[in-house]
Amino acid sequence: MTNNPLETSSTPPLAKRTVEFRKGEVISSIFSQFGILFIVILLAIVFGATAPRFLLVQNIVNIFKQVSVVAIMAIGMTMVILIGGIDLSVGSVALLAGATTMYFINHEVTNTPIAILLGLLASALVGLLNGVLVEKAKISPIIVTLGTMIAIRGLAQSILWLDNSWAWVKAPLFKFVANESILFFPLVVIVMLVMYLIFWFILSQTSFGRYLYAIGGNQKATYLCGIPVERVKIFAYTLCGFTAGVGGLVLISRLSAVSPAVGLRIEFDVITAVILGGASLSGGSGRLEKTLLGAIIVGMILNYLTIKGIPGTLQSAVNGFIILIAAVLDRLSKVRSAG
Amino acid sequence: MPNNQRDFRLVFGRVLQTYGLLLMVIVLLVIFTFLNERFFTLQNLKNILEQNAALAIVAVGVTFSIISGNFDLSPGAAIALAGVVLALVYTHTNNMWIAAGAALGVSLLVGLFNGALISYFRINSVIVTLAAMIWARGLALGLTSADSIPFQSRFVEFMNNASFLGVSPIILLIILSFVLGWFLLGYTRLGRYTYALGGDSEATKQAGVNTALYTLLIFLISAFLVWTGTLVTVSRLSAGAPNAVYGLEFDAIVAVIIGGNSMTGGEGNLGKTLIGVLFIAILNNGLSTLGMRDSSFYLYKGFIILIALFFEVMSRRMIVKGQGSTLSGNETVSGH
Amino acid sequence: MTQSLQESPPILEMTGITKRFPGVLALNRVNFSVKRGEIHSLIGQNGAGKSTLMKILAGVYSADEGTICMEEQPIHLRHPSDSLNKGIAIVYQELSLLPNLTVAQNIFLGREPGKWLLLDNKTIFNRSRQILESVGIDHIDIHTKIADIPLAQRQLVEIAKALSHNPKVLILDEPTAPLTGDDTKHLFDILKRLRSQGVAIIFITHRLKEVITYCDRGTVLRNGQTVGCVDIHNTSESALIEMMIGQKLENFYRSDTATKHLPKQEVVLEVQGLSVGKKVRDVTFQVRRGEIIGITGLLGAGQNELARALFGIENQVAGVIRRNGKPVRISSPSEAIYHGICLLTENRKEEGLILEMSVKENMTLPSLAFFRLSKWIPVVNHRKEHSRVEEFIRKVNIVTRSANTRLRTLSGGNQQKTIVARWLLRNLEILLFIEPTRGIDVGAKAEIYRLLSSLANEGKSIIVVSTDHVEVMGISDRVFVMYKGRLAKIFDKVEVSEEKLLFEIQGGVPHD
Repeated sequence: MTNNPLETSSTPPLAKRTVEFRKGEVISSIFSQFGILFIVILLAIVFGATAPRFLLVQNIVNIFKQVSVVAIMAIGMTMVILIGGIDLSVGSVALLAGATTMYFINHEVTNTPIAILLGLLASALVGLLNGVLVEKAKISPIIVTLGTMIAIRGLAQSILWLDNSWAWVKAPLFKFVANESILFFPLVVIVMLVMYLIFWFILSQTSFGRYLYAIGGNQKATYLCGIPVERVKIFAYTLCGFTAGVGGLVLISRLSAVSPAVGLRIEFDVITAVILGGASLSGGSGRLEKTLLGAIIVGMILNYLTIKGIPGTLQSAVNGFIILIAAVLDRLSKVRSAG
Repeated sequence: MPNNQRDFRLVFGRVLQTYGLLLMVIVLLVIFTFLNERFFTLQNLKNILEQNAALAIVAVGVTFSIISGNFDLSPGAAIALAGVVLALVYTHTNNMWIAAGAALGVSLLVGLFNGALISYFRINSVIVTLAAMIWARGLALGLTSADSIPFQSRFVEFMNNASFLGVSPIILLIILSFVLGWFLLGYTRLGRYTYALGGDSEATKQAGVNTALYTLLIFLISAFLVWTGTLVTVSRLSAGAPNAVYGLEFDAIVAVIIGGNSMTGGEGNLGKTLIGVLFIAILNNGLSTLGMRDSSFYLYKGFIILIALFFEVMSRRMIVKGQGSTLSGNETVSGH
Repeated sequence: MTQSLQESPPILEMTGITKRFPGVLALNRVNFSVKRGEIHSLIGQNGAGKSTLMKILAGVYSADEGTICMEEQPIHLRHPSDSLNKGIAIVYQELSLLPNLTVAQNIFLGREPGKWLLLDNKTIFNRSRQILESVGIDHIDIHTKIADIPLAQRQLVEIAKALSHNPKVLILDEPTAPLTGDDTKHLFDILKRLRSQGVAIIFITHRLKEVITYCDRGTVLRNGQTVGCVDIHNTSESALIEMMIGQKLENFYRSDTATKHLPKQEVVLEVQGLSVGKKVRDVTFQVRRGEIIGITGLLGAGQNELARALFGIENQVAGVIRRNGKPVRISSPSEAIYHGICLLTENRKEEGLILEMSVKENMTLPSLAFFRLSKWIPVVNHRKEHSRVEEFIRKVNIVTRSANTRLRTLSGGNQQKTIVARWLLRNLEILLFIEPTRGIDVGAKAEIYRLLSSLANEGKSIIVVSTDHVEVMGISDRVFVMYKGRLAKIFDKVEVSEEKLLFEIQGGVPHD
């Protein structure tokens, strides 16, 4: 950064400058991207060396299948964290989507695609409610989403009670998604990748995506540019509800049943993935591709612990420390770059 | 004149702020008394307090962290962990002093760990305590393979059956916790700086206050109250249970906020927390004595809490708008 | 105080003080001294070095060269606490009180009496009352929260807080800027009482009328050098102004004469009876196409609020705004932009820059809709965006590695040019700039002036708000002077002179 020839020479034509420096920027951006990829590779080597089974193709496919739900839900969480918010209700929203959809299918109210749409609509509405309460009533997002986390789980479980608290997933579409693969790729992983492609496009190619980063970077300045900040933020919460719903549907197709405990505590895994991906809770930073890698890291660690025979209860303890390590590393890197 | 409107807002907002929740507490009492004849009895009122003793005690610590501008999501999990440790140590040593001491050590360690990360490493308190909520609960589950560890001891007998002038030790501990908190907040440097930190931590630092140290102390106070809550919890269960007091931290934060303490810190007192705790406690007890399913319980509870929150926030906004004439200079960008 | 001022030795003496910042010589061998029991004003234009000199006294900066003596003993001030211990207390322009604590709690914050953790509330209350009494503001209840008392009284509490250190030297940095006439008088009553108690008071202000009325001596700084120290009782306002201005500045401002045919252009913006709370009162004016209007005044005279009200970001706005003759409602930035008005605020960092985003993203933020693939698809056409941004980088001459460089890495001047370009790209008719050249270097300043001039020639109407009256005079077709919220005077470019302007800024006192 210091050996910038521009500062010494008088201004050369701009086009030439741009080409020259883009090369440097590509390298530096690859390097910053490389940080988390490096951790993924390092973990793969360490885990593979200590548990040979870890690197089997079958196991890797498994990890991706396990990761898919958290990764999909992390998309919306990335957007909400990007604007300086947080959504603790995603686990309950996932259950709501599953319960609603299954109710409509099992009672033959509608056909499967429409039931799915209704389930996703319900989850998006919860997101909308969160957004309105946070932005219009100005209640802190932690408290709002804690409230909806409790209330929506109750609502979803009440729907389940209409079917004796437990609903089997009988629709063929769900079984198909859960069990089939195209080439090596299980359909759930393809659903995840498609979701990432869609939202990567939204975040990087649309004005909405640009506004999210701008709001996270400096909300006041963005407002003074005439951007409808409140509406953009409410929409981000709505999308977060939507992706939580998609995640919920993938989850129940994998479980092949909807139980009242579906999605319980999954919000922690989701937030861990986003934080590991380098997003900061104060907003403004966060990239989808890194969030995906963050989710993969969480999945790798949990899978490794399972292979090593560590009980599930301790695994969640490990999960808690992973967030902290990510936060401390992030803090240290900021201190270094500032000093 | 808009002035009248403003005055009305100010007055109405203040009334709602001061008496709104108290009114809702009374409304809840009336409703539950109608729905259930055994609700409004001395025995049940005592029950309400004892059932929610851990909540009341922990809410004192949470009040400190919220006034100082931090969030603490960890107390429920910390109680579970300390409770499990207490039960494990007691079953191995058969000595309640050592067991309680070990539990105190664990509580303080969790508080120290959280506080140090927040104050010295300057990591967002939400992340730190959210992580603690996960790892402490995970450790508690892991230490016991997710089973409860029941035990018998004179201490448990004493806590549940003793009585001083008709007051049980558990209720006494609630009272002591509130007195301790009230004393610390009003009469010590720690209390003064708790408010100052929540008002403007940068200005507080410039005034020469060691802000990191006092942030750490706030989390240690909270940890001490977690220990007190642990003693109550294990006594009532007569066991160390890794799944105990699930969701306690939510109830505590919500109680503090709907009691009328400012979400953004810098303001508040324990009187407000007490009313908030009563509201949640009555809600918990009232809903569960109606014999409804868990699902409906959470549904009603969640929505009633959201309504209470909404009133709390509305009254605050009314006051701010009513004061608009004198304070407009501070906030110039009206949007945010 | 029987001893006359002339004979007493200085309590504080600064000699040969030099302070360099990267690229700037802020203070050049400045001499300054105050005596016990006097109100000594420090006078100078923006950037003359007043604040730097006082920050050295307060222990915030340390001088590169020079000595400071207190009661004829050399002292070293490395930290704010050193200054307090030596008996030097300072009250800054931005108040440091915590709004959620009470008056008494604020006065003793960080050094509460009491043993260990315990507070000695009794002592705190009693001593707070004593201190407030000693400065004659005992009508303030010490148990009131700072948030609940008016701004003027907060200033007095701040002074009381400084006095609780029992200072020998009290520094006040523009304390009267937010105060009304009565409050100012009250403040000076207090200062006179302190003077009679032997405290040396250093008073920084722009308001020469206050200097003449209330101060004993004054030191004038110009461009980081001491011009001289005068006995206020034997001087006049015009003499002080001469000392402040010095020789004529080189005029690198707008020199074209394209403004002559202005009256023929149509009125694009009309403001009638505009008030903002108590800060702006009943302001009426018209703006024509292609005109540059400069609005100046003392700090806090209402000029910033006026501009912000036109952009829809002030509360309690009353009055009528007309665009091209039609009354319009402007209550948010998006409405203002819809009506062709944009604003560059004085708080570049808080309200303008998005540091972590690129130059390109910063520049196109308000105009992203222009780069849509089609009207209904909000997808950004990157190629179109990029070429447009490069065009403006060249036009405004932003020195950056590329359009994709993060704004954080640019210099202050280039950051400012980027957010100016943001609004040029949006292509609105009326541009409001508040302090557009604050904190940027001379070269970038000149470029921004040139840019404003060429924009006006393209037919844009520009309002520049600045406390730098020389700048305003140099670039404007008409100069508006605001005083205490009112539009006190409108000058045409031909009739304005620096002397006339300064008198109007000071409240239009007649002089002989």
